[in-house]
Amino acid sequence: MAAHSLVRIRDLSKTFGDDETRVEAVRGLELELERGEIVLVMGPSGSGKTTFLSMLGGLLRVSAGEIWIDDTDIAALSERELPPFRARAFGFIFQDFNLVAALSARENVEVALNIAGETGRPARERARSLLESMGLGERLDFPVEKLSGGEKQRVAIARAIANRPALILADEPTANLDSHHGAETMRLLRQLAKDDQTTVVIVSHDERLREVADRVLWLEDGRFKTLQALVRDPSCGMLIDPGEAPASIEQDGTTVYFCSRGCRDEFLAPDRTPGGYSEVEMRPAKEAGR
Amino acid sequence: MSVPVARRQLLARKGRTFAGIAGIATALLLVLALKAIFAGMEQRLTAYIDGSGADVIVAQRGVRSMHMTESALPERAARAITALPGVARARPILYVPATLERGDRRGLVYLIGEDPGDAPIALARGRRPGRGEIVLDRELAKTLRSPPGSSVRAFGRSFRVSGEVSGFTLISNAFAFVRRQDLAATLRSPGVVSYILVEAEPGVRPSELAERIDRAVPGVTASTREAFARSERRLVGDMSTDIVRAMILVGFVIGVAVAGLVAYSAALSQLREYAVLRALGLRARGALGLALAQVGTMVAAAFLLALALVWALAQLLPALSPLLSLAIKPGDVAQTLALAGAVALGAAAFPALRVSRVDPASVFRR
Repeated sequence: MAAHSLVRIRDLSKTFGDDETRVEAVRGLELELERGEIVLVMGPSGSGKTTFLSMLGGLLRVSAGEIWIDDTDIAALSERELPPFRARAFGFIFQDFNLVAALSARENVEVALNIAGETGRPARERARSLLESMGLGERLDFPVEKLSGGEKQRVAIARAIANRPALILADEPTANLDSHHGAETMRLLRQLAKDDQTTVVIVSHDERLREVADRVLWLEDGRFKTLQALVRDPSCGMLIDPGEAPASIEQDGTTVYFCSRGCRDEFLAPDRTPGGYSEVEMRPAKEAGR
Repeated sequence: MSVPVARRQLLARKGRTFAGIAGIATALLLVLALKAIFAGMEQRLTAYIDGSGADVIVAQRGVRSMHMTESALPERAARAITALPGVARARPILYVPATLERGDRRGLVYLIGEDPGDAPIALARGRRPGRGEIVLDRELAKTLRSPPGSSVRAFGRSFRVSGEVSGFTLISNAFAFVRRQDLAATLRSPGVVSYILVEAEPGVRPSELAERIDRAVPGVTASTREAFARSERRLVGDMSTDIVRAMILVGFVIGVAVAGLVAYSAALSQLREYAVLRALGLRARGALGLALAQVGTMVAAAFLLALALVWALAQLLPALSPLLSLAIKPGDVAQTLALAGAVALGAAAFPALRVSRVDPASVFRR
């Protein structure tokens, strides 16, 4: 166990249901995250990304394994101990912002401080200063419903960092934003990681986030997979593991893999339009999982 | 928390919140108003006793009230009582229920026969009754359209209206006053009185005097004015207990239904926000507290609204319906407040349970 790693995940598994309905959403995950590191977790829908993020954030009980945040194994914390730990250790950023509609921008940040035990004037001042630092000084008392998507996400980020957490967990943070606000959110996350040494874990389908990530992890079928080993289905463009591809063909001396027989048949159809997806994943150096 | 989340959530949906408050207030108002009406009845019921100036009221043995009761005493009992030490004065009265008629109009009354010079109640208009005359309560006079100078009939004979008193009308009947000898002759019961109103000499305690009369005069029961009035009020209480109890139940059910429905629909629409707060570290009991605070705030506002409405009703109703008078008693307000508390708890139970069980991991579901 490396002493300097902020997060150490050991043999993490999550199973839902029993017998015939049993589903292994996450299987034997191993991962270490450094302080100030930005890790992007990608993968197809249903691959276990949300389950992984929920367990890492102490929102979902693990079936097996350990999640060490500094010196605390959150998998071993009781239901009473988890909420205060979440309030101190984690900041959450959501796709839908998940702000409390009835509260103003400042109150949305202040309430997170209140939950962690900081109340009154100090909490109000901290909320104000955070929002001002994010360019929302003119929007402090605005109802959040009247804010633009980008402004809402900045409020959500201010709320996430209000308690100075060691780890920020972001679920599709750019999904509901246009390219300008998406880039702004990416810049803020990068700044947080590099200036404050906050570790950021992002779960997303947004390829743009690769630009700010120190590492990209591919989660599929509940396991991290090495991106170099993945190939694209030339018909639908989906990244797939050649070892588990249900269909493949030999073409010009190389093997072409497909996510389904339907895609293979489509590929082999005589009237198929040339082109489409063909390139293999291009960024091996940056994307090696640890 | 220094951020008033519960209040903000209530104010964010003003229409629903105010509709809920109005519904609960209506339920509480039902209870408060009914209690105030009965309290008003009690006050008017004992208006004659309270204003009689008597310290002790003497009745036939075993009789401790006037309404729905009969009492007959020999007139000589008054003389025997007057002779007792500590008695300043003993005034016999006749008291009978009667129907007053004027043309096709009718009014139920308690007819009180007093001796000239013994009548303690202040007149609002006119003069005390002479032979063949009657004093009516003002509202009764309006109902019968019998101003002073007109005539009404009772027990088959005519009485000329000589004056009016005020504040002696109950919902179903009123007080009217005649000369005792007139009433005795009309009833053909000379030498019989209904009650004897006794005034104590200065320094004599009414309870002592009542005991003395009980011991010295056979066949009578002497009660202090307070005890007698209490006994009168208990009659109304006995008559109204079941009605009030039923109304409290109705108020409780309506209150819980309205508050519960509003609170539950509010909780359902805010489940996502509760999940977010739980994810941010709010404990289950914190979420429970927020849900309870929302219901509690609504019920408290409804209680204050109901109190304001019943106060306004108490000011307006006598002008609109003089037969009714509302009296707001602190005890009744306290009971309604307790009912409001029960409504809040009953209404909050289900939504609070739902909110406290919200899964914080649901914040990641779309």
